Amino acid sequence: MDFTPLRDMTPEELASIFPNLNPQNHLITSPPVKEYNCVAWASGINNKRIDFYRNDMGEIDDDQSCTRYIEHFKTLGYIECENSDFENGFEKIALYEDRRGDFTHVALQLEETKWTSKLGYLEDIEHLTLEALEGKGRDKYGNHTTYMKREKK
Amino acid sequence: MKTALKEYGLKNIDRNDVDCWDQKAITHHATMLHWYSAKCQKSKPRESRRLSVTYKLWGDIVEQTHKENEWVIEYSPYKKEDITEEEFNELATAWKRQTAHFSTMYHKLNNSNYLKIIGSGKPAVPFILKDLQKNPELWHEALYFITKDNPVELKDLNDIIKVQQGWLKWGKEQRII
Repeated sequence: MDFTPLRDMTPEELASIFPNLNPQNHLITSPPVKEYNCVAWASGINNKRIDFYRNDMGEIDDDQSCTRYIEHFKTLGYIECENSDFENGFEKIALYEDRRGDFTHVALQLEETKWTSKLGYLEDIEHLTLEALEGKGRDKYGNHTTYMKREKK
Repeated sequence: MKTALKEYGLKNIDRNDVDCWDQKAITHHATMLHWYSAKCQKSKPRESRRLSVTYKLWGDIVEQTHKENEWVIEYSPYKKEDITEEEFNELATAWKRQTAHFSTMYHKLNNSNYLKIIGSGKPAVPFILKDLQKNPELWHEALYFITKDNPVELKDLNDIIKVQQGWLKWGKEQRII
């Protein structure tokens, strides 16, 4: 493996990217793999990445905000909603953006206080709160800012 | 690409101290270095009518040169012929460590170590391909910006295995590996 998985990180390494994550607020649920990312994971896909950094013309898009990702999740039946509060009968996702307004991450709600996230190449985890993955500054996810929901099938 | 460079040439750059969050501009600057360098070398003399400004990018000197009404960006963390395999491995290891938690290529690309590898130019290509032989990795942007070749179709860029296979096939065809 050519990177350090979450399970092998020192507390200092963990804090440098996820300052709010600690052994009490998350559980590792998979080995680390590169084949899929958080967007794919939240979309129910685990054999390819979903990344809209290049636009349909093949150019690196100036707009790296959540917009394209919101459009993607709309195609999966999600609509934007006001908050991340648990609602019976609905699946919710939360999108993160960094301080430049660029999309960084999406988490999928499993239960009232349980979310699941694929952390880049790192492992899938279950985390108790959305804040567990927040962090300000360079090399951090930023804040959760956008919420979407769809009816559970 | 030329239009994009013009747009980003000055507008988004704080020349006093470009920090790591001026990434959109930096991406365009760093990744277009070689394309513009090649263009300038063809239209010699390069030094004539030089009006340049310099600023620091992650400790490396970046130079903008105004020439024939265009801003030419020279990003030179290494002289092109300078990078060694050991230096490449240090940059690659740091890049992988610092960006493993990111899901988007945009954030992986906008890492100073990745940009330095791009800035190293063609001498880095054999090292990138050697690394790619060991593990699938998102090296396609570095390889694309250095070589201007693109053996992986746009629709396959999200498939890291196809990216690996496509560029390794290219490397064999080019007799680099």
